Amino acid sequence: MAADSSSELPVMLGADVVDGFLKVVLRYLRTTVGVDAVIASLGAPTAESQTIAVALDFSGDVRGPVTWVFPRPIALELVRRLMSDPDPDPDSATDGATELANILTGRASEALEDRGFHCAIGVPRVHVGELPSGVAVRMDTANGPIDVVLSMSTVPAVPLG
Amino acid sequence: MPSAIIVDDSPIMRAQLRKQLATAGFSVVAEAGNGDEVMALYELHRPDLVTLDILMPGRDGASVAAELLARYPGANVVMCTSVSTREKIEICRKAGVKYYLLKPFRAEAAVAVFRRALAKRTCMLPRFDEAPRFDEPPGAPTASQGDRYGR
Repeated sequence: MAADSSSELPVMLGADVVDGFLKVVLRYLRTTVGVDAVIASLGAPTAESQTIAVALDFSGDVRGPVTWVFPRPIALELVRRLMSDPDPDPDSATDGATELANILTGRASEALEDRGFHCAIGVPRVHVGELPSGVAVRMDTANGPIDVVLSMSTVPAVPLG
Repeated sequence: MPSAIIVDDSPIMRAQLRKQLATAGFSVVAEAGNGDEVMALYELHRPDLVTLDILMPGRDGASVAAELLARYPGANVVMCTSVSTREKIEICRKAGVKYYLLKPFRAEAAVAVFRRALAKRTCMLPRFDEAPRFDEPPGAPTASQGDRYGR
């Protein structure tokens, strides 16, 4: 894959790449916070008051942010599990959401590598305000919906020869 | 008591690692939330083990591990990260990292890895009374080893 073809037009992620990314996400939601999520819809989610939005930036063959929107109970569940604390401080929800976004993005990036994309991931940051445009996916869970917006694009490979 | 340094930008991960290292018998002598402080902390404390995240503000953990192990080949580094791409794992492996814990990991798995890392380090470092004398050929059993093997 070409990593420095900045003059070329970016291309939105293909359906197979999005599918592979989401499969890993569903698997690790189950193992990380015990949440069975079901992909419910593609659309344009909005961050609500009881949610925490976290974004991480991809660079390399895949560029742009992935933005996660977690209900607070799911973020707190990670804290509960990591700290073995049945009643974690509600203020730690942001730390939980940040770490969950970190884990899911890190693991799901395997799906990008499996398809030949070499990319690096930036440090998670809390996202405030309107969500960016991109492929928006809602996953329903018993604790409320998890939204993810894939705003990444790929740089087309340079033909050999 | 063996000592450890935790390097991870997540406060909850640091708290989790602190517990697991304590269970494995380590005393945590320093913590950092970014990769920039690791070399100074290592030189100050010379710990028996360093846990390193990869995605952190400042320098990423893979490049820190490479520099640390180039300067201190005996450093005992355990990567604790969610980054599982072959590329990053290969960078760490080539740098000399022996242990790679992928988040989310079970507490028992982490404790087992920390204990194994310590046991390996203890085996690698000869006890003072077992260090070979300069007049012995390399690999020759020392007096105490000879005793142990019944020679």
